[in-house]
Amino acid sequence: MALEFKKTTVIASDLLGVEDAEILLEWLIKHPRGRINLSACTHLHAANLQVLMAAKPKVSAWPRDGVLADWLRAALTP
Amino acid sequence: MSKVILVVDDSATMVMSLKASLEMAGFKVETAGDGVQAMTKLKGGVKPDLILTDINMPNMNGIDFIRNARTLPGMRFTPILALTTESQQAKRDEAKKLGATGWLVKPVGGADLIKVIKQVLPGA
Amino acid sequence: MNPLLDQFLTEGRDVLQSIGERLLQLEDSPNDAALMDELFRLVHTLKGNSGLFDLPEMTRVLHAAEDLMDAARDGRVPFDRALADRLLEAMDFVATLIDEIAEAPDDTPPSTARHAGDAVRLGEALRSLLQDDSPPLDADGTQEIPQDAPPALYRTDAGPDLSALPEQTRQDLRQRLDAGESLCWLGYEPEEECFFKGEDPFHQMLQLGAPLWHRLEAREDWPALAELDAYRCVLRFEAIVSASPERLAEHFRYVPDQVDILPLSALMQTDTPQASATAIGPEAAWSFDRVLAAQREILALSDTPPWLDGRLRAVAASLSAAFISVDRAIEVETLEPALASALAARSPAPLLAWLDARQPPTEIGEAADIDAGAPTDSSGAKAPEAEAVRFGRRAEDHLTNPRTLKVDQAKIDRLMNLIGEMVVAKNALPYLAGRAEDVFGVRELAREIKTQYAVINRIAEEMQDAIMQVRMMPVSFVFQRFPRLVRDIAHKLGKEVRLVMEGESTEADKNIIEALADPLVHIVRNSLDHGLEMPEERRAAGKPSEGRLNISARQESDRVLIEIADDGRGIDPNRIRRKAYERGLIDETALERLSDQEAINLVFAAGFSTAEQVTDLSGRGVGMDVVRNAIARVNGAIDLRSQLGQGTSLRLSLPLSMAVTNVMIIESAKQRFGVPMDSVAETVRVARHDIRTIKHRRTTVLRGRLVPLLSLNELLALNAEQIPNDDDEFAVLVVRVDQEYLGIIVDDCRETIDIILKPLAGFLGGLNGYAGSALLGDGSVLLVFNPRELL
Repeated sequence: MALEFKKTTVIASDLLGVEDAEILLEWLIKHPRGRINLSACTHLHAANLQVLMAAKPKVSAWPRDGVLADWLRAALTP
Repeated sequence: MSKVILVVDDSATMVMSLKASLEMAGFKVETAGDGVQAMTKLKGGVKPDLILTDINMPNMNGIDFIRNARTLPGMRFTPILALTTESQQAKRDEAKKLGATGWLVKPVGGADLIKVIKQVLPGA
Repeated sequence: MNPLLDQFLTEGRDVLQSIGERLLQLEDSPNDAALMDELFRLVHTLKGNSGLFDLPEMTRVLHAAEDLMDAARDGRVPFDRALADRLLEAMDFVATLIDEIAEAPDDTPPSTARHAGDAVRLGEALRSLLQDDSPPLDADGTQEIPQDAPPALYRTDAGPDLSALPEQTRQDLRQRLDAGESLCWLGYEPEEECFFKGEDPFHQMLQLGAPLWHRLEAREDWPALAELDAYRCVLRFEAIVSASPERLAEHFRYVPDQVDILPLSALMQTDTPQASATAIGPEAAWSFDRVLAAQREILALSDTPPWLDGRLRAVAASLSAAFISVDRAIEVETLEPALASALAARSPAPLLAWLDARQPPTEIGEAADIDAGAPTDSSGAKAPEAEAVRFGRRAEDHLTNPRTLKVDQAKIDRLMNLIGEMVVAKNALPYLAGRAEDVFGVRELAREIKTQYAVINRIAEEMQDAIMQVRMMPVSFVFQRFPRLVRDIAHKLGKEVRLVMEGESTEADKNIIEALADPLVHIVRNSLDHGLEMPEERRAAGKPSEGRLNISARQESDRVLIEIADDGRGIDPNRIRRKAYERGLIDETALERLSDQEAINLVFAAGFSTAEQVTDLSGRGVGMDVVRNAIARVNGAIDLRSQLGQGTSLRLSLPLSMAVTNVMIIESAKQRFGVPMDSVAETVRVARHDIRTIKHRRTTVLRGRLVPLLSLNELLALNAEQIPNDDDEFAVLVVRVDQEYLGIIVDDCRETIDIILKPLAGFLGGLNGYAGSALLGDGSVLLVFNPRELL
C-alpha cells in the first residue's frame, strides 16, 4: 500500500502512482491540517506533486532520496 | 512485485524477441497478436504497467489500439510505447497525439529496450 | 538452433509465401487498397524481424522494398508489373538467404556478406522505381538515421530568467563552464493532458540526476482544493543541468515542443576563449559526426564496382570538406596521400585507417547514445547460454495463435515410430493369452488378457489414426508455388496462360505431398513449354489466345487424385511412334501395333523426350519417366490422356497416407520378406511342369495370359534354389508393373499384416529394390521389397 492513512498523517511509501493522486487529494480535502510523511517514498507521480503543491500539507519527514527531497523542498516549502 | 508489460505485435518472432529481453530484465510479459487480441486481454483483466505495441497489424492496427485502449478505465494513465520503424515519423506523431507515451524504433532489443522502458516507467 | 532464429526462419518463410501471393493478387487487382496495406505490412514485418539479427544484406533489400511498398501504397509510384517483378526478385533473394541461414549448423546466423553485391544491386533496383520521390539515398540503405534527433527540434525562443540564481550558484556554474563542462538551462512545460498519455514529467526530470539549480512552479494559481483537477498538468520545471543539449534533446525526444534547452555558455557570457576543437556548436558537431559516419559506411562496403575510384574520390572530398568546416583543415593534409594509396590498392582500407585515426568508430555510437552515464544494464551482459536456455523454456509461450501449433517434424516422426512399435507390441498379447491357456492352463486369465487386448488394440488404432491426421497437410503446400511459377514461365515464353486451381485444401500425408512437389512442377513446366501454344498459334487454331491450365485435387476414398489439364496442342501419337522408333524404344511391329493411347504412354519410357529443342525450362534430359518413377515411389499411379489439338491431361492417383502399409509376408531362402499388397495382383501355385522356358526366360500361362516368371532369390542375389511344396508346385506372386503382369517365384506366401514402414537407414539405404523395413511382433525385422524397383 503506497498510502497509509493515520488519524492526522498520511504515510507515503514506495512509489505513489498516478492513481494515488485522487485518493491523496480526497484525504487532504477532508483533513485540511493533515500531515504527510514521505520518508519511505521513493517517487511520486507528477499528479501527486500537483496535489501536494496545491494543498501544501505539513511534511513531517522528507524522502531519503536526496534529489527527490531537493525538488520537493523547493516546491513545497514557502 | 515485478511489473507487467503487454507486448502487442503480429510477428511471432518480434514477440518472442521482446518477451525474452523483457523477461530477462525481470518483467512479467503478456502478449497479443493484434489490437483485437490486446483489447480482449485488457478487458479480460490483464492490467499491464506498460504496453508495447506494433503499429502495422492486421485486424486492429496499433493506432486504433492505442485510441481504444485509452478509453478503458484502467488504461487512462498507462504508458504506451509504439514500436515503429525509422521511416514512420507520421505514424509516431499520430500515435503520440492519440495517447502514446513515446515510441521505439525497431529493431529494438536488450539494453536499449530496457533503458527506454525505465525512462517512461517509474520504479521499473 | 537458437529458438529465436528458428522462429524467425519459420515466420520468414510464411511471410515470403504470403508476400508472393499478395503480389500476384495485386497484379489482378492493383487498386485493392486492403491488399496493398497487407503487402506493406508483410514486408514491414519481415524487415523488422531481420533487424533482430546481424543480417545487413537482407535488411538492406527489405528496407528498400518497404520504402517502395510504402510509396506504392500512398500512390506515389504506380503498382505495375515492373514493380512486382522487382519485389518478387527481392523476395527470392531473401528466400535464398533464409535457406542459407537455415542450413548453417551454428546457433548464430552465418555471415551473408558474400551476397553484399547482390543486396546493393537489388536495393538500388528497388529504389530506382522510387525516382524523385526517394528519400536521399543513404550510402547504406539500412542505417537508421535518428531523424528526430537534430538539435533544431527543441524550442529555443523562450529565454530563462537567471536573475534568481544565487551568486554562489553563478560562480559555481562559471567555474564549471571554464573547465569545459557542458551545461544547459532547461525549461519544461508538460502539456495539460500529458498524464493521459502515460507521461510522468516529474519522473523525466528526476532522471536527469541532481541539477545544479532547479525551480518548480505552477503555471497558474492553484484553485481551492475541492476544485483541483489533479490530472490536468499545470507544472513548470526549470533546471540547470550538466549535460549536452544533444543529450537533453534525446531525453525529451517524445515531447520536443514542450521543452526549451539552452546551452549555458551563451547565457553566462563567459569571456574565456575556448579551444578550437570545442568551439563548434552542437549542431555543427552533429552534422560533422553524421558526415563522417556516412563516409565510414561507404568505405565499409565490401563490393568493388567499376566506379570504385569515383567512390573513393567522393569520400575523400566529403571528408576534406567536413574537416575544414570544423576548423580542422590542418588534418586534411594527410588525407591526400591516403586517397592516393587507396586508389592504387583499389581498396578503401587506407582511407578507413585515416578516418579511424581521427575518429575511432565507437565514438559515433556513443555520441548518439541516450544516456552514456547511466549504469550498465546487467540484462545486456547475460551469458549467451543462459539466454538460450531461457528462450527454450519459454518457446511455447510465444505462439500468438494458440489454436495452431508448429511442431518440429522430428517430433511427429518420433510419435509415428512409437505408435509403430506400439502396434507391434500389442500383438504379443494374443500370444500371451494363448500361453496362459495352453501352457499354464489358466483360462480365466487368458480371457482377461484378451479383453484387455481388445481395449489396447482400439486405443492403439485410434492413436495411429490421430497421428496420421497430424501428418496430413493440404496440397496447397505444393500448389501455392504455381501462380508464381506459371506467371514467370509464361512471361518468359511469351505465352498467355490462365491458371485455375481447385481443391487446394485436399489433404494427404506429408511424405506424399512432399514427394509430389518436384513431379508436379515438372508436369506444369511441360504443359507450359510443350502443351500450350503461342497466342498467335492458338488464334490460328480458333482457340482463345489465352491458354488454360487447370490444376485440381480431390479425395476419392483412400486416394488423392490430382489432375493437371491444359487446352494446348495435345500429343500427336504418330509423332510419338516415330520418335520412339527412331530412338530404338520400339521395333517396327510395335510401330504398327501400338494403339494411340499406348503410343502416348511411351512418353513415360526412359530416355524419351519429344522436345524439338532443349529449353531451359523442361529440357535437360529429365523426362516423364522421372516423373512416373517419383510418383511410383510413393505408390502412386499416373494416367496420361491427350486429344490432339484439344489438350492434355495428366491424372495422378496417390494414397492418402503411406504411414501404414498392408504387406504380404513371403518366404524365400529361409528368410521372411514383405511385399506391399497394393502391388500384388494375386498369388498362385504353379506346378514345375507348367513352367516353360522361352528365349531363356521362364514363363507360364495364367488364365490364358503369358506371364514371365522370375526367381526372387535371383533378384535378391540370394544363393539358393526356390523350394517347391510337396506337390512340386512353386508359390508365385503375381505383380502388376505398368499394365504388365510378372510372376515372382518365392518359397511360400504367408499371411498379410499391417505394418508401419520405415525407410532403410544407413548403408542399407543405398540398396535398390527395398521399400523399407518394419518391426514384427516377435521383435524381428521384416525387409519389405518394392517389386517395381526390383525388376
